[in-house]
Amino acid sequence: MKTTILKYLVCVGLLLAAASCKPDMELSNPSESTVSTYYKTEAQLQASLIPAYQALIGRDQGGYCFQVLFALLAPGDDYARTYKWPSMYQDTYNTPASDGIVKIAWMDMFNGVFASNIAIYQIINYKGTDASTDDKNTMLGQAYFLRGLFYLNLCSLYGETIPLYDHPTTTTADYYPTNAKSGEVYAQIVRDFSKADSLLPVKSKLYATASNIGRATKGTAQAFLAKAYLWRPILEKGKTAEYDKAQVVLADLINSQEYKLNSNFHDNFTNDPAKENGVESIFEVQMHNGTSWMGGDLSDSWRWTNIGLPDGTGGCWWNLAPTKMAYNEFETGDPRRYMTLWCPNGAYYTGSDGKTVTFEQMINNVSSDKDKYGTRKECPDTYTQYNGDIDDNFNDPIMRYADVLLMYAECLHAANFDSKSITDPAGPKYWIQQVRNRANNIVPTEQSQLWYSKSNGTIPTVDDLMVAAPTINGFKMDNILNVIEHERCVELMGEYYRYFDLLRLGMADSKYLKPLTDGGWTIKAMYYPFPQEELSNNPNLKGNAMN
Amino acid sequence: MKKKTLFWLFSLLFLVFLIPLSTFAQSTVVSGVVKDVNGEPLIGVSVTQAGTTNGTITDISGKYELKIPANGVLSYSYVGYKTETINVDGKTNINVVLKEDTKLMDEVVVVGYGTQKKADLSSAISILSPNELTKVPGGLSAGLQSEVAGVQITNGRIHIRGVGSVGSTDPLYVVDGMIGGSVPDEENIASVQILKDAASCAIYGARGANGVIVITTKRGHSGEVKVDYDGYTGWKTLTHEIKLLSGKDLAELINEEMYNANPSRTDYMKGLSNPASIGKGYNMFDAIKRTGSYQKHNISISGGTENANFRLTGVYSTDKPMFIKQGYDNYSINFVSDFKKGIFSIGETATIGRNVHDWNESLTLLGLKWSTACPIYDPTSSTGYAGSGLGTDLANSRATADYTWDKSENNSMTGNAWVIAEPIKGLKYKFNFGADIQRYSSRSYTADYNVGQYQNNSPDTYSMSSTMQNRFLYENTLSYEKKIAKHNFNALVGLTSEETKGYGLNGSARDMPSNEVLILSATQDASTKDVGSSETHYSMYSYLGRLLYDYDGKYMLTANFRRDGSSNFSQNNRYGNFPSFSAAWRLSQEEFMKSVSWLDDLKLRGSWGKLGNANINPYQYQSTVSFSNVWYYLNDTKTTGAIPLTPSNPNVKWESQTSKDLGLDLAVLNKTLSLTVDYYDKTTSDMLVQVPIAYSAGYMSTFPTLNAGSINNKGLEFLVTYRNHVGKNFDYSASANLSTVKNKVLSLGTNNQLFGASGLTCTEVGGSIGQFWGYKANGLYKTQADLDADKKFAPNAALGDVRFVDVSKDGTLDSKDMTFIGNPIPDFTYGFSAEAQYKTTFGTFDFSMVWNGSQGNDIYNNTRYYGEGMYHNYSCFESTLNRYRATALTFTNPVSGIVTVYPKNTDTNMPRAVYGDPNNNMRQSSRYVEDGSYLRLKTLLIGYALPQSITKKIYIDKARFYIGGKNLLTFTKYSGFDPEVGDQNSNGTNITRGIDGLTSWDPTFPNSKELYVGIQVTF
Repeated sequence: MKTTILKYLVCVGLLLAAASCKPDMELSNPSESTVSTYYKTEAQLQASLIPAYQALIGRDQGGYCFQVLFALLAPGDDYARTYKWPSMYQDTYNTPASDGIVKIAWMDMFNGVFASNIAIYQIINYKGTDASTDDKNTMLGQAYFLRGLFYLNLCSLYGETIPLYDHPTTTTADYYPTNAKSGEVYAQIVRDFSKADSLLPVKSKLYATASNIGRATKGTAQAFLAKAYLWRPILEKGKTAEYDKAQVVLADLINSQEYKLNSNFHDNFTNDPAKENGVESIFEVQMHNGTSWMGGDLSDSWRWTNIGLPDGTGGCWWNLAPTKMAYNEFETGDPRRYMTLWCPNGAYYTGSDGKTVTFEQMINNVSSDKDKYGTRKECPDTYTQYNGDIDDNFNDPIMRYADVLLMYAECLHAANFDSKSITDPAGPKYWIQQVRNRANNIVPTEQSQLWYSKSNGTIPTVDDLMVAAPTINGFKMDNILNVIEHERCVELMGEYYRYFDLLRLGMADSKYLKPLTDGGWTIKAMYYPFPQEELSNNPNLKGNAMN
Repeated sequence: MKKKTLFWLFSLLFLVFLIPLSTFAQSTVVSGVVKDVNGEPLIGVSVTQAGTTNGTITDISGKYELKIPANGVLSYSYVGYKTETINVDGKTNINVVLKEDTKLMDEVVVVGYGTQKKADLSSAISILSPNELTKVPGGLSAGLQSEVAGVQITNGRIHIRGVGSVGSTDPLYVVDGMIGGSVPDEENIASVQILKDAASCAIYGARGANGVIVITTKRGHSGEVKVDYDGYTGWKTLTHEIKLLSGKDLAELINEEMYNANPSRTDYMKGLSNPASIGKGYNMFDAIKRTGSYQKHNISISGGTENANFRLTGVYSTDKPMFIKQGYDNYSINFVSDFKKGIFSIGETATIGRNVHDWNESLTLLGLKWSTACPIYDPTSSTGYAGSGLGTDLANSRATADYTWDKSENNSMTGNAWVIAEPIKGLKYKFNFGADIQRYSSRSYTADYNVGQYQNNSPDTYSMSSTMQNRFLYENTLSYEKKIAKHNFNALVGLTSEETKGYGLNGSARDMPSNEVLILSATQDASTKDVGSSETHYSMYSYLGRLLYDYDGKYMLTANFRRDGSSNFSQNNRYGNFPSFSAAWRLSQEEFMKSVSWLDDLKLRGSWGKLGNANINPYQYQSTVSFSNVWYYLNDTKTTGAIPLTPSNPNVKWESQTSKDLGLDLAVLNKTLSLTVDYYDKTTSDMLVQVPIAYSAGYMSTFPTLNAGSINNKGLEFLVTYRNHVGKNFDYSASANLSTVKNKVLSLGTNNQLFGASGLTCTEVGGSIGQFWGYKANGLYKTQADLDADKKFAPNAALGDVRFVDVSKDGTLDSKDMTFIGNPIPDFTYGFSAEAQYKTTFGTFDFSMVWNGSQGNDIYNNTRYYGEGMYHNYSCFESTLNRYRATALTFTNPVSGIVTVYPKNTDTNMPRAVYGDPNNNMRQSSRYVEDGSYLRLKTLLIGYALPQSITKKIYIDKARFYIGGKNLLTFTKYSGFDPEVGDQNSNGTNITRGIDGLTSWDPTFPNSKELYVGIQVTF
């Protein structure tokens, strides 16, 4: 009997064990929050803007610092691939749809569109009461600006038949979008920058709060709105630039007194925190070099590695390098040549071993491509402490006041004010001259062996240049537009403009396409193809002429 | 459901107490000696009264004595021998000779949640003999690959019956009933069974779709305490070396590259201007390579009584791989014991393991790229190593090996314990508790060092991470076995649950106080501190049931059912049902077949079943906002953000696999020849595919997981075994197996292709999974006419460049011309083995060899991308000596004036050498696709065991010495390191397979040529 009771007890015990062991099956992701419970405070709305900014750099080490850099720079006549990267196609105007840069640039920028759309949607539909109207407008203005900027780049690189999103993607239709119709993308870019213009505070007001330094301001929106108007021949194929509208918005920007030129050119391209986001800066991609390998935090600049010193010096990859044409574009006596390029008689580099080398020594290390140069602009002169991992923290200025002045000059040229005197702000010469004057300034912070650290540059005035009328890389300096084109090339070299300047001017006058057609460019190659995988993933989308 | 189960259990338990216990009859004492066929006494033979627990074991002279009813039946059983049963019939002295078991029909097979006689099986289960496991180091994998039909090991991964999914298809391991238990050391394995069809796997439901490998560990035995030792040591080298150009030959090649790109140039590199002076040069790959070695010691102590036995095993092994600064040390203690007390049986298997792994980022394959014209060492540099030069930009692999280290250790406790109550005969309740506790930690250090321009780290970097994961398993099963006349029933029901939780923590900093004080908090630069953490949580809850029925050993039926719930799925689709049925007809038991004297056994089997696969990332059904790596620096201050990064799919559900199997088992000629044939056809539907969506949707490359795809695998499997002996002293056996798989992708959801390996593979509906993708190369341009014909799409081509095919015929060579260029799936795989044993008075010799092969698979040899690139200044393979040259060239180096004569060479398929590769000869193309077929001597083993006449004198039971080799011979046309290429996809997805050298930093050389010697001793 005793054993029977024991058996009962054991069996009951075991049954309890069996019945009580159902685990918790309703699990939630311990490291993420659900969409429906987030976006409930102003801080969370602010957090929704961050990934849109981050997309400028790219979630996969992309953005301005890596793949987009190649996409924007390589097609220009001022840069060419080196023997280090034989399979770079951006340079050949024959980029295959399967190319990695084409895909990663597309992915990163559309991720930026997506992040901007989420922010716009959540800010507009915000029910909370903890955010003031001003705060909401400032947030919304940034989100519109960023969406406009991503589309400006996407449309410039891939053409206007890219998919157009004005809301966050959620449905199957969003997963498999169709092509945008002609003019739609341009219209949205202009609309987004215009809204940002009306919603955002000016720089001095916004940057009064330190944690806002680096964000888009009213001036940023205006400058990019003007750029979109000028870029229209690329953004809306077959249409001409809207110089009249650009002139109005640029005049407003100039009159705001928010910006002026740095007293020296070099101050635009340092990693000195006191000079980054400075008086001339309208918008910079903010870089930070973390301390672990390759920055560790995906916010670092790879520009130095990709296009910096010649191969065999300092560990640069030197995949893309300034060409002979780039070197020759600078007039004799233009200090900007030496601040932009590693070139003969230029700056010295101090390597990881503490030794200082000249460009001549560097280029001797190169086994091939000895006719190319290095990019010094926005790159360090010295191997820095945490630099063993090939990245750095130089911000990437993608809109400067100098560019605004040159765009304004172009508008005044289009409005037929070429004949105005060089001292008359109503004419283009006045504004070009501002930029040229600054170029001649002594740069006391420069390496002491560089002559312009002690004496002025010697490039002539616009008037003298036009009188002398030299031919620079095939363009005779006898008319204002050629002078502007030349000035943009040297002032903004390496700042991702060259190809698009030639292209947009070339849409109106094919002589500006010559440097490109000499390199094998055809009208078909105006844009990169849509990524092959994008087309195979989305049967609703048709490629462009390059697909 | 819970209530019903309770009711059921109560009802059965109620029955328990209605059944009386058995009674005893009049007794006598029987004694005798048990010997083997050679007349050697057998120690530890279990002598029992059949059908009872009354029994004893034989002593050191093989003697036994047992009290037993005068009309009782004695049963003599001993591992590895055929059990004898003898009617006592009043005798008091019974001597028995036990014959070695040929292990064919009486074998008991461990199936999911129980055992079955092999003869009664109605499903496709293969058995790997434990003997096979101990033949070679790594014997489990070698045995599965060579001896089991239907198992393929490609890329170092095990596939059972083809590739059923684009996701991970690793089989499930079940060790002593512990799902996902740790696979024991080969010496500790008692049995391995491979459940291949749905009927046998369905009891594991959602985890059975990729096949199940059921392993049992050796248990203790009643009798005297025994000590077994098995140890071996071995050496290994690469199975095949890839020869590089000498420094001189490389210099000549690069000068020719430069000349071909621009004959008028003068800026040749000085360092390469006198090739002869470089001579043999410097081989970085050799500098980081060595002869690998390993050793293993396994010692076990076992013993016990009738009601309690134990086995305690300690294993220590080390492995020094073929590359420097790498090593493994493994320690484990395995404890098993079994107890009987009344109606209860209690047992456990527990393993405490510790694995220490040292490695570093020595960038093995990158060593192949190091220019053989560049010195490796430089006595004048601060490190003693030379930086990369002569136009190359690599890190010095040898220096990396010295200045970086990574160490990891995993400490684990895995095991399970169970209680079985058998209140009435045939009714068993089992409670099984399993625990899998893993503690992993790793540390990495990169010193402060500077080797040339391409290799710097300053200051030093240290990082540490640790993860802990606990998994607990609870299983309750109730089984009942009953025989009514010729009807045999066996029913099983069960309830199981499982929960896994894990936490991870990682931190790093730079600028350590010294390379000996690696304390993160002591960093001299606090701004470099970085910390992170992770968390995982997962649970499963399942019901299971099985019914076995057979009539007179002639007709067998099995039905399995499992209902699995997984927290990976939303409430709507949380549970999946997985039924299976199988039937068998043993024709040989029929009266009308009895007259066929040569036929010993003939069985036809058929099965149908549905299996599941829940192998997806958790929380796919929730739309979540991610915080991981979302930030931007404003005013140089990190500002964090949030963004939804995963497109959710609230309807995600189980992947299911429907599988059919037809099989035949045949044994003839007194069981000397046996044959098993299986045909299977399995279709995976609702396959969990990350269905590609437009990148413009903004989710980067994260795709929603949809139940969209479908894949079919069909195949045939054959296994033939012949076993016989010549006289008393020579036994031999041979077996052969062959398997075919036909893989076909039926659907991928949308009308898409899936790309893998950065576009090197493409999976398309109608084709097989993960085929190679690229341009079609059609030899080289050898005539001007060919160049002219292709001028339009190959404007940069010259004589000796690769002639790519304009597949789309649109006059351009672009991505539309990419096509399928090879298939990593073999037509068939096969293996054969032979064994012989010869007994003499001075000992027993044994010999065995195993061959295995694969036929018809392709390999994408990506190591040749650089190795035969000839576009830059890197090292090249020796094969480039045969490069194309349209005309002879007498080249005077403008720098040194040295003249090199290059002869004309047009009868070749190796392209010309040209700087910058203007025709893009290097592009992904069929140029790199090679036939991966091979046949290799997997193992060769010769052993010698001392005769008992000697061992007795030195007080040991058994002593055997052996010497063996692994992968000694390989017949293949493949030019790379090894035709069994390593898997470089850490996620294990099947769309990246058969690619050799996909990345430069993570090569796996799963196979090496090995030689080893060992000893086995039993005290």
